[in-house]
Amino acid sequence: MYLGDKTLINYHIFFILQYVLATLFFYYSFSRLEIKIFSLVLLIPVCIAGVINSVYFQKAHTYPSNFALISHSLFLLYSLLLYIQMINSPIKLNLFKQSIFWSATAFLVFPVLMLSSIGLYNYFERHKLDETYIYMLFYIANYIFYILLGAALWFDRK
Amino acid sequence: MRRSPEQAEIYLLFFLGIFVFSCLVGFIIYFIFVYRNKQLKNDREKDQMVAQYHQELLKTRIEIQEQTLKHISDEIHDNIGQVLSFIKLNLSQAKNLDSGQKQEKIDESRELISHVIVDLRNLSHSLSFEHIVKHGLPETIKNDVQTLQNTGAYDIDFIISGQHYSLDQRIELVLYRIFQEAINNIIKHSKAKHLKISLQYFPEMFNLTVEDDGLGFNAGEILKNCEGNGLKNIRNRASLIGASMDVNSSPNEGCQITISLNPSGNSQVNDNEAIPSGSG
Repeated sequence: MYLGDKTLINYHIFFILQYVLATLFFYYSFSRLEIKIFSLVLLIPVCIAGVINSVYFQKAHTYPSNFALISHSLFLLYSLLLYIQMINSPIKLNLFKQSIFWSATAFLVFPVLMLSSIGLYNYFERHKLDETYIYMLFYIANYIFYILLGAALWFDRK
Repeated sequence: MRRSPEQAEIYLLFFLGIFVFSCLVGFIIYFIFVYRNKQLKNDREKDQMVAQYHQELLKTRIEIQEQTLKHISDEIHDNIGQVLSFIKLNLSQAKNLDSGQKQEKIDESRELISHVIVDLRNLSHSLSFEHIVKHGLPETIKNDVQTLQNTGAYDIDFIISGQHYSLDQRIELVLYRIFQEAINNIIKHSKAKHLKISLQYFPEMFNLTVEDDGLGFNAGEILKNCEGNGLKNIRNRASLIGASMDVNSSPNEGCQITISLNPSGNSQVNDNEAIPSGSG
Protein backbone atom coordinates (compact mmCIF):
# COMPACT_ATOMS: atom_id res chain seq x y z
CA MET A 1 0.00 0.00 0.00
CA TYR A 2 2.01 2.95 -1.27
CA LEU A 3 0.25 6.28 -0.85
CA GLY A 4 2.53 8.59 -2.87
CA ASP A 5 4.95 11.05 -1.33
CA LYS A 6 2.80 11.75 1.68
CA THR A 7 4.56 10.65 4.87
CA LEU A 8 2.70 8.03 6.86
CA ILE A 9 5.10 7.92 9.77
CA ASN A 10 2.26 8.81 12.14
CA TYR A 11 0.51 5.55 11.14
CA HIS A 12 3.67 3.60 11.90
CA ILE A 13 3.93 5.13 15.37
CA PHE A 14 0.20 5.04 16.04
CA PHE A 15 -0.18 1.36 15.10
CA ILE A 16 2.59 0.28 17.48
CA LEU A 17 1.19 2.48 20.23
CA GLN A 18 -2.31 1.15 19.58
CA TYR A 19 -1.05 -2.42 19.79
CA VAL A 20 0.78 -1.76 23.10
CA LEU A 21 -2.24 -0.05 24.70
CA ALA A 22 -4.68 -2.68 23.44
CA THR A 23 -2.43 -5.46 24.74
CA LEU A 24 -2.32 -3.78 28.13
CA PHE A 25 -6.12 -3.53 28.07
CA PHE A 26 -6.40 -7.23 27.27
CA TYR A 27 -3.75 -8.10 29.87
CA TYR A 28 -5.85 -6.51 32.61
CA SER A 29 -9.12 -7.94 31.21
CA PHE A 30 -8.03 -11.57 31.00
CA SER A 31 -8.50 -13.60 34.14
CA ARG A 32 -6.47 -16.67 33.18
CA LEU A 33 -2.81 -16.28 34.01
CA GLU A 34 -1.59 -18.27 30.98
CA ILE A 35 -3.43 -15.98 28.56
CA LYS A 36 -2.19 -12.90 30.44
CA ILE A 37 1.39 -14.13 30.13
CA PHE A 38 0.85 -15.08 26.46
CA SER A 39 -0.37 -11.57 25.59
CA LEU A 40 2.47 -9.95 27.51
CA VAL A 41 5.18 -12.22 26.09
CA LEU A 42 3.96 -11.52 22.55
CA LEU A 43 4.06 -7.76 23.12
CA ILE A 44 7.83 -7.27 22.73
CA PRO A 45 8.49 -9.46 19.61
CA VAL A 46 5.46 -8.01 17.81
CA CYS A 47 6.59 -4.45 18.56
CA ILE A 48 10.12 -5.29 17.37
CA ALA A 49 8.59 -6.80 14.20
CA GLY A 50 6.63 -3.56 13.75
CA VAL A 51 9.79 -1.44 14.03
CA ILE A 52 11.72 -3.73 11.65
CA ASN A 53 8.81 -3.51 9.18
CA SER A 54 8.81 0.29 9.38
CA VAL A 55 12.60 0.55 8.94
CA TYR A 56 13.24 -2.10 6.26
CA PHE A 57 10.05 -3.16 4.50
CA GLN A 58 7.22 -0.62 4.57
CA LYS A 59 8.99 2.65 5.09
CA ALA A 60 7.56 6.06 6.02
CA HIS A 61 5.68 6.57 2.73
CA THR A 62 4.02 3.20 2.86
CA TYR A 63 1.02 2.26 4.94
CA PRO A 64 2.20 -0.32 7.56
CA SER A 65 -0.23 -3.01 6.41
CA ASN A 66 2.07 -5.88 7.44
CA PHE A 67 2.07 -4.74 11.03
CA ALA A 68 -1.66 -3.97 10.82
CA LEU A 69 -2.30 -7.54 9.67
CA ILE A 70 -0.39 -9.00 12.61
CA SER A 71 -1.78 -6.65 15.26
CA HIS A 72 -5.38 -6.86 14.04
CA SER A 73 -5.23 -10.65 13.82
CA LEU A 74 -4.05 -10.65 17.45
CA PHE A 75 -6.85 -8.26 18.45
CA LEU A 76 -9.30 -10.65 16.81
CA LEU A 77 -7.83 -13.59 18.73
CA TYR A 78 -7.81 -11.68 22.03
CA SER A 79 -11.41 -10.51 21.60
CA LEU A 80 -12.53 -14.10 20.94
CA LEU A 81 -10.65 -15.20 24.07
CA LEU A 82 -12.42 -12.44 25.97
CA TYR A 83 -15.79 -13.69 24.68
CA ILE A 84 -14.90 -17.23 25.81
CA GLN A 85 -13.92 -15.88 29.22
CA MET A 86 -17.28 -14.10 29.50
CA ILE A 87 -19.17 -17.26 28.54
CA ASN A 88 -17.23 -19.30 31.09
CA SER A 89 -17.88 -16.94 33.97
CA PRO A 90 -21.11 -15.05 33.37
CA ILE A 91 -22.21 -12.39 35.84
CA LYS A 92 -25.72 -11.33 36.81
CA LEU A 93 -25.46 -7.85 35.24
CA ASN A 94 -27.25 -7.31 31.92
CA LEU A 95 -24.82 -8.05 29.09
CA PHE A 96 -25.46 -4.72 27.39
CA LYS A 97 -24.47 -2.90 30.56
CA GLN A 98 -21.11 -4.66 30.76
CA SER A 99 -18.20 -2.58 29.53
CA ILE A 100 -16.19 -5.72 28.80
CA PHE A 101 -18.80 -6.81 26.24
CA TRP A 102 -18.57 -3.50 24.38
CA SER A 103 -14.77 -3.58 24.49
CA ALA A 104 -14.65 -7.15 23.19
CA THR A 105 -17.13 -6.24 20.45
CA ALA A 106 -15.05 -3.20 19.51
CA PHE A 107 -11.94 -5.36 19.21
CA LEU A 108 -13.87 -7.93 17.18
CA VAL A 109 -15.57 -5.61 14.71
CA PHE A 110 -12.65 -3.24 14.19
CA PRO A 111 -10.03 -5.82 13.09
CA VAL A 112 -12.55 -7.60 10.83
CA LEU A 113 -13.40 -4.32 9.07
CA MET A 114 -9.78 -3.21 8.96
CA LEU A 115 -8.50 -6.50 7.57
CA SER A 116 -11.28 -6.50 4.95
CA SER A 117 -10.49 -2.89 4.06
CA ILE A 118 -6.79 -3.59 3.65
CA GLY A 119 -7.57 -6.58 1.43
CA LEU A 120 -10.00 -4.57 -0.65
CA TYR A 121 -7.59 -1.64 -0.89
CA ASN A 122 -4.86 -3.90 -2.25
CA TYR A 123 -7.30 -5.33 -4.79
CA PHE A 124 -8.56 -1.89 -5.90
CA GLU A 125 -5.04 -0.53 -6.14
CA ARG A 126 -3.86 -3.49 -8.25
CA HIS A 127 -6.80 -3.10 -10.64
CA LYS A 128 -6.56 0.68 -10.78
CA LEU A 129 -10.06 1.16 -9.40
CA ASP A 130 -11.47 4.14 -7.52
CA GLU A 131 -10.41 3.73 -3.87
CA THR A 132 -12.73 6.39 -2.39
CA TYR A 133 -15.16 3.80 -1.01
CA ILE A 134 -12.33 1.91 0.61
CA TYR A 135 -11.21 5.05 2.42
CA MET A 136 -14.79 5.39 3.56
CA LEU A 137 -14.64 1.85 4.87
CA PHE A 138 -11.51 2.75 6.86
CA TYR A 139 -13.30 5.73 8.34
CA ILE A 140 -16.43 3.69 9.13
CA ALA A 141 -14.29 1.01 10.84
CA ASN A 142 -12.65 3.68 12.98
CA TYR A 143 -15.95 5.39 13.83
CA ILE A 144 -17.51 2.08 14.87
CA PHE A 145 -14.43 1.23 16.92
CA TYR A 146 -14.43 4.50 18.83
CA ILE A 147 -18.20 4.47 19.32
CA LEU A 148 -17.99 0.96 20.81
CA LEU A 149 -15.04 1.97 23.00
CA GLY A 150 -17.01 5.04 24.07
CA ALA A 151 -19.93 2.80 25.05
CA ALA A 152 -17.51 0.59 26.99
CA LEU A 153 -16.12 3.60 28.87
CA TRP A 154 -19.58 4.94 29.56
CA PHE A 155 -20.83 1.65 31.03
CA ASP A 156 -17.60 1.25 32.95
CA ARG A 157 -18.17 4.59 34.69
CA LYS A 158 -21.73 3.66 35.66
CA MET B 1 -25.56 -7.75 -21.13
CA ARG B 2 -22.30 -9.52 -20.22
CA ARG B 3 -20.30 -8.47 -17.20
CA SER B 4 -16.53 -8.00 -17.49
CA PRO B 5 -14.36 -10.32 -15.33
CA GLU B 6 -13.40 -7.34 -13.14
CA GLN B 7 -17.02 -6.44 -12.57
CA ALA B 8 -17.75 -10.05 -11.63
CA GLU B 9 -14.87 -9.94 -9.17
CA ILE B 10 -16.20 -6.74 -7.63
CA TYR B 11 -19.60 -8.35 -7.22
CA LEU B 12 -17.92 -11.35 -5.66
CA LEU B 13 -16.04 -9.07 -3.28
CA PHE B 14 -19.24 -7.24 -2.47
CA PHE B 15 -21.08 -10.44 -1.61
CA LEU B 16 -18.06 -11.71 0.27
CA GLY B 17 -18.08 -8.49 2.30
CA ILE B 18 -21.77 -8.93 3.06
CA PHE B 19 -21.10 -12.53 4.03
CA VAL B 20 -18.26 -11.55 6.40
CA PHE B 21 -20.37 -8.80 7.92
CA SER B 22 -23.33 -11.19 8.35
CA CYS B 23 -21.04 -13.72 10.02
CA LEU B 24 -19.83 -11.00 12.37
CA VAL B 25 -23.35 -9.92 13.31
CA GLY B 26 -24.46 -13.56 13.52
CA PHE B 27 -21.58 -14.33 15.86
CA ILE B 28 -22.46 -11.43 18.17
CA ILE B 29 -26.15 -12.42 18.24
CA TYR B 30 -25.18 -16.04 18.92
CA PHE B 31 -22.87 -14.91 21.71
CA ILE B 32 -25.65 -12.83 23.29
CA PHE B 33 -27.99 -15.84 23.12
CA VAL B 34 -25.43 -18.25 24.65
CA TYR B 35 -24.47 -15.75 27.34
CA ARG B 36 -28.11 -15.19 28.31
CA ASN B 37 -28.62 -18.96 28.57
CA LYS B 38 -25.54 -19.25 30.76
CA GLN B 39 -26.82 -16.43 32.98
CA LEU B 40 -30.17 -18.19 33.39
CA LYS B 41 -28.45 -21.50 34.15
CA ASN B 42 -26.25 -19.79 36.72
CA ASP B 43 -29.28 -18.13 38.33
CA ARG B 44 -31.02 -21.50 38.58
CA GLU B 45 -27.95 -23.10 40.13
CA LYS B 46 -27.65 -20.25 42.61
CA ASP B 47 -31.31 -20.61 43.58
CA GLN B 48 -30.77 -24.32 44.08
CA MET B 49 -27.74 -23.61 46.22
CA VAL B 50 -29.72 -21.13 48.34
CA ALA B 51 -32.51 -23.70 48.79
CA GLN B 52 -29.99 -26.39 49.72
CA TYR B 53 -28.29 -24.02 52.12
CA HIS B 54 -31.55 -23.24 53.89
CA GLN B 55 -32.47 -26.91 53.99
CA GLU B 56 -29.11 -27.82 55.53
CA LEU B 57 -29.39 -24.95 57.99
CA LEU B 58 -32.81 -26.15 59.05
CA LYS B 59 -31.50 -29.70 59.38
CA THR B 60 -28.63 -28.44 61.50
CA ARG B 61 -30.98 -26.54 63.78
CA ILE B 62 -33.24 -29.56 64.16
CA GLU B 63 -30.25 -31.77 64.97
CA ILE B 64 -29.07 -29.32 67.60
CA GLN B 65 -32.57 -29.16 69.05
CA GLU B 66 -32.82 -32.96 69.16
CA GLN B 67 -29.43 -33.27 70.76
CA THR B 68 -30.27 -30.62 73.33
CA LEU B 69 -33.60 -32.27 74.16
CA LYS B 70 -31.88 -35.63 74.51
CA HIS B 71 -29.31 -34.06 76.78
CA ILE B 72 -32.06 -32.48 78.90
CA SER B 73 -34.00 -35.75 79.03
CA ASP B 74 -30.87 -37.71 80.07
CA GLU B 75 -29.96 -35.11 82.64
CA ILE B 76 -33.47 -35.10 84.14
CA HIS B 77 -33.67 -38.89 84.17
CA ASP B 78 -30.17 -39.73 85.34
CA ASN B 79 -29.36 -36.87 87.63
CA ILE B 80 -32.11 -34.48 88.70
CA GLY B 81 -34.78 -37.18 88.92
CA GLN B 82 -32.53 -39.43 90.99
CA VAL B 83 -31.57 -36.65 93.38
CA LEU B 84 -35.20 -35.53 93.82
CA SER B 85 -36.24 -39.12 94.53
CA PHE B 86 -33.52 -39.30 97.12
CA ILE B 87 -34.74 -36.04 98.69
CA LYS B 88 -38.30 -37.41 98.74
CA LEU B 89 -37.06 -40.58 100.44
CA ASN B 90 -35.10 -38.51 102.96
CA LEU B 91 -38.09 -36.34 103.80
CA SER B 92 -40.48 -39.30 104.08
CA GLN B 93 -38.09 -41.00 106.48
CA ALA B 94 -37.74 -37.83 108.54
CA LYS B 95 -41.21 -37.97 110.14
CA ASN B 96 -40.30 -41.07 112.18
CA LEU B 97 -36.97 -39.69 113.45
CA ASP B 98 -36.10 -37.66 116.50
CA SER B 99 -35.46 -33.96 116.16
CA GLY B 100 -31.63 -34.27 115.87
CA GLN B 101 -31.81 -36.83 113.11
CA LYS B 102 -34.66 -34.84 111.46
CA GLN B 103 -32.40 -31.79 111.33
CA GLU B 104 -29.65 -33.93 109.80
CA LYS B 105 -32.01 -35.23 107.09
CA ILE B 106 -33.29 -31.71 106.39
CA ASP B 107 -29.72 -30.42 106.05
CA GLU B 108 -28.87 -33.30 103.76
CA SER B 109 -31.98 -32.59 101.66
CA ARG B 110 -31.12 -28.89 101.52
CA GLU B 111 -27.64 -29.77 100.32
CA LEU B 112 -29.11 -32.03 97.64
CA ILE B 113 -31.59 -29.32 96.55
CA SER B 114 -28.65 -26.90 96.16
CA HIS B 115 -27.00 -29.47 93.88
CA VAL B 116 -30.22 -29.80 91.87
CA ILE B 117 -30.40 -26.01 91.50
CA VAL B 118 -26.80 -25.90 90.23
CA ASP B 119 -27.54 -28.78 87.84
CA LEU B 120 -30.66 -27.05 86.56
CA ARG B 121 -28.69 -23.85 85.99
CA ASN B 122 -26.08 -25.80 84.04
CA LEU B 123 -28.82 -27.47 82.09
CA SER B 124 -30.34 -24.13 81.22
CA HIS B 125 -26.92 -22.96 80.01
CA SER B 126 -26.65 -25.98 77.80
CA LEU B 127 -29.65 -24.97 75.68
CA SER B 128 -27.11 -24.68 72.92
CA PHE B 129 -29.01 -22.91 70.19
CA GLU B 130 -29.99 -20.06 72.49
CA HIS B 131 -26.53 -20.08 73.95
CA ILE B 132 -24.73 -19.78 70.62
CA VAL B 133 -26.91 -16.88 69.50
CA LYS B 134 -26.46 -15.07 72.81
CA HIS B 135 -22.89 -15.87 73.71
CA GLY B 136 -21.17 -16.79 70.47
CA LEU B 137 -19.15 -19.80 69.39
CA PRO B 138 -16.15 -19.71 71.77
CA GLU B 139 -18.32 -19.43 74.89
CA THR B 140 -20.65 -22.23 73.73
CA ILE B 141 -17.77 -24.55 72.91
CA LYS B 142 -16.15 -23.67 76.23
CA ASN B 143 -19.39 -24.64 77.95
CA ASP B 144 -19.45 -28.00 76.18
CA VAL B 145 -15.79 -28.59 76.96
CA GLN B 146 -16.52 -27.91 80.61
CA THR B 147 -19.40 -30.41 80.58
CA LEU B 148 -17.23 -32.99 78.86
CA GLN B 149 -14.39 -32.41 81.30
CA ASN B 150 -16.77 -32.80 84.24
CA THR B 151 -17.45 -36.39 83.16
CA GLY B 152 -13.83 -37.15 84.06
CA ALA B 153 -13.38 -39.26 80.94
CA TYR B 154 -11.24 -36.78 79.07
CA ASP B 155 -8.40 -34.45 79.68
CA ILE B 156 -9.07 -31.45 77.44
CA ASP B 157 -6.97 -28.49 76.34
CA PHE B 158 -9.11 -25.66 75.03
CA ILE B 159 -7.19 -22.87 73.32
CA ILE B 160 -8.44 -19.65 71.76
CA SER B 161 -5.76 -17.71 69.90
CA GLY B 162 -5.73 -14.48 67.94
CA GLN B 163 -8.01 -11.48 68.14
CA HIS B 164 -11.58 -12.72 68.47
CA TYR B 165 -14.10 -11.52 65.88
CA SER B 166 -17.71 -12.52 65.36
CA LEU B 167 -18.67 -14.68 62.43
CA ASP B 168 -22.12 -14.74 60.88
CA GLN B 169 -24.62 -16.38 63.29
CA ARG B 170 -25.50 -19.06 60.74
CA ILE B 171 -21.85 -19.85 60.18
CA GLU B 172 -21.23 -20.09 63.92
CA LEU B 173 -24.19 -22.44 64.18
CA VAL B 174 -22.83 -24.71 61.45
CA LEU B 175 -19.34 -24.57 62.98
CA TYR B 176 -20.79 -25.53 66.34
CA ARG B 177 -22.60 -28.44 64.72
CA ILE B 178 -19.32 -29.54 63.11
CA PHE B 179 -17.66 -29.36 66.52
CA GLN B 180 -20.46 -31.47 68.05
CA GLU B 181 -20.16 -34.03 65.24
CA ALA B 182 -16.39 -34.27 65.78
CA ILE B 183 -16.84 -34.69 69.53
CA ASN B 184 -19.54 -37.34 68.97
CA ASN B 185 -17.15 -39.25 66.72
CA ILE B 186 -14.47 -39.09 69.41
CA ILE B 187 -16.86 -40.30 72.12
CA LYS B 188 -18.24 -43.12 69.96
CA HIS B 189 -15.16 -44.43 68.20
CA SER B 190 -11.83 -43.03 69.32
CA LYS B 191 -11.26 -44.30 72.89
CA ALA B 192 -9.21 -41.15 73.34
CA LYS B 193 -8.05 -39.80 76.71
CA HIS B 194 -6.67 -36.46 75.72
CA LEU B 195 -8.38 -33.88 73.50
CA LYS B 196 -7.12 -30.60 72.16
CA ILE B 197 -9.66 -28.10 70.86
CA SER B 198 -8.50 -24.84 69.41
CA LEU B 199 -10.09 -21.80 67.83
CA GLN B 200 -7.67 -19.62 65.89
CA TYR B 201 -8.80 -16.16 64.88
CA PHE B 202 -6.36 -14.89 62.26
CA PRO B 203 -7.28 -11.77 60.25
CA GLU B 204 -7.39 -13.77 57.01
CA MET B 205 -8.39 -17.16 58.35
CA PHE B 206 -10.44 -18.78 61.06
CA ASN B 207 -9.48 -22.33 62.12
CA LEU B 208 -11.39 -24.75 64.30
CA THR B 209 -9.26 -27.75 65.24
CA VAL B 210 -10.36 -30.85 67.16
CA GLU B 211 -7.55 -33.25 67.94
CA ASP B 212 -7.52 -36.51 69.90
CA ASP B 213 -5.03 -39.20 70.86
CA GLY B 214 -7.39 -42.07 70.17
CA LEU B 215 -7.41 -45.07 67.85
CA GLY B 216 -7.30 -43.04 64.67
CA PHE B 217 -8.12 -44.36 61.20
CA ASN B 218 -6.89 -44.33 57.65
CA ALA B 219 -8.17 -40.87 56.72
CA GLY B 220 -7.36 -41.05 53.03
CA GLU B 221 -9.18 -44.33 52.54
CA ILE B 222 -12.26 -43.36 54.54
CA LEU B 223 -12.64 -40.04 52.75
CA LYS B 224 -11.95 -41.59 49.35
CA ASN B 225 -14.53 -44.33 49.84
CA CYS B 226 -17.01 -41.83 51.31
CA GLU B 227 -17.30 -44.00 54.41
CA GLY B 228 -18.09 -42.50 57.77
CA ASN B 229 -21.27 -40.53 57.96
CA GLY B 230 -19.82 -38.23 60.59
CA LEU B 231 -16.89 -37.17 58.42
CA LYS B 232 -19.13 -36.86 55.39
CA ASN B 233 -21.47 -34.61 57.37
CA ILE B 234 -18.58 -32.49 58.54
CA ARG B 235 -17.26 -32.15 55.00
CA ASN B 236 -20.70 -31.25 53.60
CA ARG B 237 -21.30 -28.70 56.31
CA ALA B 238 -17.86 -27.18 55.85
CA SER B 239 -18.43 -26.75 52.13
CA LEU B 240 -21.85 -25.26 52.87
CA ILE B 241 -20.25 -22.31 54.68
CA GLY B 242 -17.38 -22.05 52.20
CA ALA B 243 -14.88 -23.65 54.58
CA SER B 244 -12.41 -26.42 53.91
CA MET B 245 -11.89 -29.56 55.98
CA ASP B 246 -8.53 -31.15 56.59
CA VAL B 247 -8.31 -34.57 58.28
CA ASN B 248 -5.01 -35.93 59.54
CA SER B 249 -5.24 -39.40 60.97
CA SER B 250 -3.66 -42.80 60.78
CA PRO B 251 -4.32 -45.98 62.80
CA ASN B 252 -3.29 -45.70 66.48
CA GLU B 253 -2.08 -42.15 66.04
CA GLY B 254 -5.18 -40.18 66.87
CA CYS B 255 -6.99 -37.78 64.63
CA GLN B 256 -6.90 -34.07 63.86
CA ILE B 257 -9.77 -32.35 62.09
CA THR B 258 -9.25 -28.75 61.00
CA ILE B 259 -11.95 -26.54 59.56
CA SER B 260 -10.57 -23.44 57.85
CA LEU B 261 -12.66 -20.52 56.82
CA ASN B 262 -11.96 -17.15 55.27
CA PRO B 263 -13.93 -14.79 57.53
CA SER B 264 -14.41 -12.13 54.87
CA GLY B 265 -15.53 -14.42 52.08
CA ASN B 266 -17.30 -17.04 54.16
CA SER B 267 -20.68 -18.38 53.01
CA GLN B 268 -21.35 -19.50 49.43
CA VAL B 269 -24.83 -18.14 49.78
CA ASN B 270 -25.13 -14.52 50.67
CA ASP B 271 -28.49 -13.37 51.91
CA ASN B 272 -29.45 -11.32 54.89
CA GLU B 273 -31.75 -13.68 56.70
CA ALA B 274 -30.79 -13.88 60.35
CA ILE B 275 -31.37 -16.86 62.57
CA PRO B 276 -34.49 -16.35 64.59
CA SER B 277 -33.54 -16.63 68.23
CA GLY B 278 -35.34 -19.10 70.36
CA SER B 279 -34.60 -21.89 72.72
CA GLY B 280 -33.30 -25.23 71.54
